[in-house]
Amino acid sequence: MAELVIENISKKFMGKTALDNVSLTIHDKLFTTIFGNAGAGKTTLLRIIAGVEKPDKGKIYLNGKDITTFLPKDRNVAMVYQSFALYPHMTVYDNIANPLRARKMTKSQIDEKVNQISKSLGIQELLSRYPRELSGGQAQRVAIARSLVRDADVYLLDEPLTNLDYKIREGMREELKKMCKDFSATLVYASPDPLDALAMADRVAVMSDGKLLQYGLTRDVYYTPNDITVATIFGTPPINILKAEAREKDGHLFLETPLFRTDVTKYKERLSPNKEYKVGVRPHHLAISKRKVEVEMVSFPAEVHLTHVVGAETICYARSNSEEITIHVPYIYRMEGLEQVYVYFDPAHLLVFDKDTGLRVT
Amino acid sequence: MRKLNPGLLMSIPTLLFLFFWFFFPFLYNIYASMHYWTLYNPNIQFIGAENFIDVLSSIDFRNSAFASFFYTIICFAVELPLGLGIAVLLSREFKGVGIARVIIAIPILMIPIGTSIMWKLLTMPKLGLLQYFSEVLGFGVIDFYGNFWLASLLILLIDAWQWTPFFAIVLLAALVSLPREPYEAAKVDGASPFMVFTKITLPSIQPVMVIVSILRVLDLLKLADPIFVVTKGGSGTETLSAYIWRVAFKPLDIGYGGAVAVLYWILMFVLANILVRRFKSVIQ
Amino acid sequence: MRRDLSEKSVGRRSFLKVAGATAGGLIVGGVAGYLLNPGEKVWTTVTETTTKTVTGTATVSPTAVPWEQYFPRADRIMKDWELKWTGWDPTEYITTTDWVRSIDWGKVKSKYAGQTVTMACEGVDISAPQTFQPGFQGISGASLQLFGIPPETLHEKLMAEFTAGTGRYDTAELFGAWAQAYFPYMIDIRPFAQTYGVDLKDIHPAFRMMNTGPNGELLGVVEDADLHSFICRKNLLDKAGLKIPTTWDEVLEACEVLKPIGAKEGWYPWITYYSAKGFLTFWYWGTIAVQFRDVTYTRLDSWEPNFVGDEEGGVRALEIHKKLLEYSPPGSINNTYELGREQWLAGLGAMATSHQCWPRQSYDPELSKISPLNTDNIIEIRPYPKGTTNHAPENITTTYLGIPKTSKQQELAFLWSVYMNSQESSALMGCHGTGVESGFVSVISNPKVWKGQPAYKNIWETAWTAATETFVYIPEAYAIEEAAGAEIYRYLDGSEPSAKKALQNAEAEVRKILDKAGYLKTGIKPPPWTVEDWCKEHNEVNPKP
Ligand SMILES: Nc1ncnc2c1ncn2[C@@H]1O[C@H](COP(=O)(O)OP(=O)(O)OP(=O)(O)O)[C@@H](O)[C@H]1O
Ligand SMILES: [Mg+2]
Repeated sequence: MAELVIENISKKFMGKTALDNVSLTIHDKLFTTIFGNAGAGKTTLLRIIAGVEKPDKGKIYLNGKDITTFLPKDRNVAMVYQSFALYPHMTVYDNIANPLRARKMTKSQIDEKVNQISKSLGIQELLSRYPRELSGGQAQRVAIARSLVRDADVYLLDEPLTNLDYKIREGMREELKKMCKDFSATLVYASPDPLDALAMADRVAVMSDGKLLQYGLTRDVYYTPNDITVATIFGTPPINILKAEAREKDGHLFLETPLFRTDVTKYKERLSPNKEYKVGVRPHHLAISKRKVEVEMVSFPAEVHLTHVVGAETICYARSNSEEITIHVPYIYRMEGLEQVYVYFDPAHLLVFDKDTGLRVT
Repeated sequence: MRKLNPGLLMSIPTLLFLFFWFFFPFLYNIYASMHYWTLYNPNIQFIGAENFIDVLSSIDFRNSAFASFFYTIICFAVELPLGLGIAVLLSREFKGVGIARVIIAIPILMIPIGTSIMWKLLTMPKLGLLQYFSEVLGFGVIDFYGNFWLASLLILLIDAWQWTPFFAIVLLAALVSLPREPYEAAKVDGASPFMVFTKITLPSIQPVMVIVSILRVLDLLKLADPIFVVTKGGSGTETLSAYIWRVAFKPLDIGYGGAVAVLYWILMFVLANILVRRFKSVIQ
Repeated sequence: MRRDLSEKSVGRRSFLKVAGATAGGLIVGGVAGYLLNPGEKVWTTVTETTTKTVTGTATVSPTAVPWEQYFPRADRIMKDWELKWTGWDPTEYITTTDWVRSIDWGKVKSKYAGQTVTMACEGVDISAPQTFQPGFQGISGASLQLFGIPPETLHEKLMAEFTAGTGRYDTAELFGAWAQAYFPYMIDIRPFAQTYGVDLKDIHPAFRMMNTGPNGELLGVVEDADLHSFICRKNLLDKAGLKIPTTWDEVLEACEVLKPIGAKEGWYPWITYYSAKGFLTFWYWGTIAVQFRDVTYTRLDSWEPNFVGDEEGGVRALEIHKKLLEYSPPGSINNTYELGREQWLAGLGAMATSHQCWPRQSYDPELSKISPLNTDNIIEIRPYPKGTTNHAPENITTTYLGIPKTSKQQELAFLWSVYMNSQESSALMGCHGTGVESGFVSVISNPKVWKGQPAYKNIWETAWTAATETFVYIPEAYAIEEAAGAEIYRYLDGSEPSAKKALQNAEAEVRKILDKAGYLKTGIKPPPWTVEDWCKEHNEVNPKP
């Protein structure tokens, strides 16, 4: 049972705010991702949880106990660093064994634990090597092994995959997720990559400039972002944002964008006529067709000028009425020169934000 | 036509310099050591190993070799741990750490002989500040110059005062350039500060530590300044360098002096080799 | 004396510099303080005054140069209190035999105007010769370049220059005890002296004997003539009801009586001026040993070293040496010149033996805590305490200004050496307390000068009894002193419990050196080692009071 409560944590470095009144509760046995761009304060938050940095303000509770002033070694949290932070003068075995030795375990206990964790991470053959003799992926596994080898209440992982190449990252995501389940561990995982969160996290906390913007189930945060910032940063490729204006006609309320017009009468209470908004639609909610088809969907013509195939999927960059649109289709799409297409989407996926406050209104 | 290796070509000035300023004097010195040869006497006689036999049978040579090793060991044993301690303290962030780092470097900037004289002024019987405190505290006048142990203590103080900062500065540079994460990782892993220090810090700065230690040890074996100032080589404090100076340069006896220098060189060479070989893996 | 490793004459000033440097170093916190030379001040003032006077009267016709205008007069060198204390009238010249007066400077000027002469000076601080530089340049029309060389390396540096024949220096300061090493490279200055009517015989034989060659050739002009005296603070002896000791036994008895009194009042019965391992030990022991008739540094009839003495007087001297250390401040076993002097001038001792400069500087309230001008202290200067006999010891630390054969300005160099070391200027330097002492009979026998340098009276009265060591006549002198000193030292520091054994070991070491150098085989008799014998051999009158 591990519940980590972060309460009103603030931290400044030389007058610059790194964390601004952050509060969230990390739940037991869940995979929680702290998501945010570079400099958002993710690492700082993890380091404060680990106890290697002191917050200026706020408290941290672990299982109901106030651990704000505890030394790192008394907190029973484990951490994996973005830079791996392996001890260069120790073998892989000694690296992994170090936390256990610090806890004064017997030799045989240590041996057993190290072997067990290295088997599950597939690094048994590496045990006698030194960190400089490891590839990036291997080093990362060792770093993860070193933290997972302990029975910590909470495991903190700071961008453990950022330094790895794309292929390995994909594989590691699967493994981490599996490990979280297998070990029934409470993981806090910091990452600037929305895919990490989307692929693995039960819950995600979106941060920007030291502020916690939104915290909730990953699905909820993704589909119903609180505001336009969360919508923009949390998702890849980034969401399409268009200017829009609400207009009333014949008792119906429409949203008009430079590309399309859609009926939003059912949101009448939340939208005011003749007011400007911003609307967003995620690239993978858009579909394309070379011919115009009649469906219960919003559609508009566009011209695809660039495609980018990722795996078996394609990201298409299109232009319509001088607006740039990104479309993510789940198949390989090859264009032959500029192509005129029709773009479709379900208006239910449309996110409407207040133009001034950026808050989501639908 | 075979082309000259440009690397060799560019090394020629250095090699020539080395030849004239090192190899040639070195070989010449070996030649001198086998002769009865004083600068004021035009008659140079070949006497084989006689100078070497004289040196090796001289009590002063043996005593000075002992003194050199003795001071090397005690000075090193004090300066390294102390310097390391200071380096660790100064590697922390605290108010005024910048100024503290500058202040600690000042002794290195002082002229060694000046440092020794400063300490001599502090320890003059009835005149020095330290003697004053000693008398006030009831210890009486301390014989810092005439007693081997106390003179050695003073020599140690002088050398440590001047050169501990050398260790401190170099080790500090090594410490602050270490990545922060492994430390934090170790702390989070539950290591005690002592364990962090012995298991992470020390091994990480070991190469630097070994190199400064070797430099310092070789330097200490040449210790002379404080000995001239404190005892002029008396009371058993005469080191090898002081001995060479006394028997070679003053009487202008380059034969005998050359023999001492050759023996001294062999000693240093062997020692430097042992040290470098022993710590080769660490340095690389 | 000016040249041993412990630099007497610059020592006091160096000490001040170092003291200033320490204070400065502690305050300023670094090298900056070391470069501020507070001790320099005395000399700067002097130099300035001299320069001013000279430029003020620089319009002189080249033929008839009035030397008075260029000569460093008393009021240009001495301080006001010194002038008053010595009763010295600056316009009145104390010595009429002065060399400077006999030289036709007009002729010199017409011959040497615009030429350059160089000098190697002991010490990096060259303010002493600098004092005379403007005057000499004015009077001769030549220009003078001074090169300061640290005392620790002067000997080696000069030997290297001389053996290499570089001709870099036209004149150089040479240390008497090791003069023989220089002999092959130096000219005999007598012909020049004759040309210019310079009476070299005014130099007391005690200071001339060891830089005179076998055929009477003279190595150089005496620059700094040292002879030892016994000095004591009479007021402290009076307090203990003691008379001034005249024998070593009385000295040791007095020490025993004074010890408890001194312990209470913060001083010691004795100050040891040098004792450090090597030649300093040898010299200190030697000054005592020479008071025991049967001890000779070498046997008179051969080169066999005899340190023990036929009646073991050398052993007795060494025992006295060690005993004196017990009555001296702690650590005196390794004392060098400057430390001993600081201790004496700081009032830490009741009795000592020393060169002339200690007592003179004791009268200087700026240098000395025991100055009788400040307190009731009475300083007495007496002959060395007697052993079985009595000698004025140790005139080996005299300095000469020699002219190398390689010099291309030998005559001009000679004129400079005469100008700088004339009777008048040496009297002034002595009375000014610089530690540069006069060796002229006409000066040291002059009661007017005694007022400014009281030690000269004793020097005058004892110099005719002086004795030296025979080794100063051979170039191996330094090696011998160093080797013998190291052996003798072992008795002092206790590593050799027997004084006799230590001296025998020293004899063996010295014998080895003499043997290697070939002296034992030659059969040549060593030269005489007392002034009396030397005068007899050279057909000279030994000046006696
Ligand atoms: N020790 C420090 N001193 C000064 N500023 C710091 C320090 N640590 C972090 N910061 C600043 O605090 C802010 C948050 O940094 P933090 O490392 O927590 O960001 P992050 O979200 O982990 O970024 P990234 O994704 O690049 O790792 C940044 O502006 C950073 O520059
Ligand atoms: Mg980070």
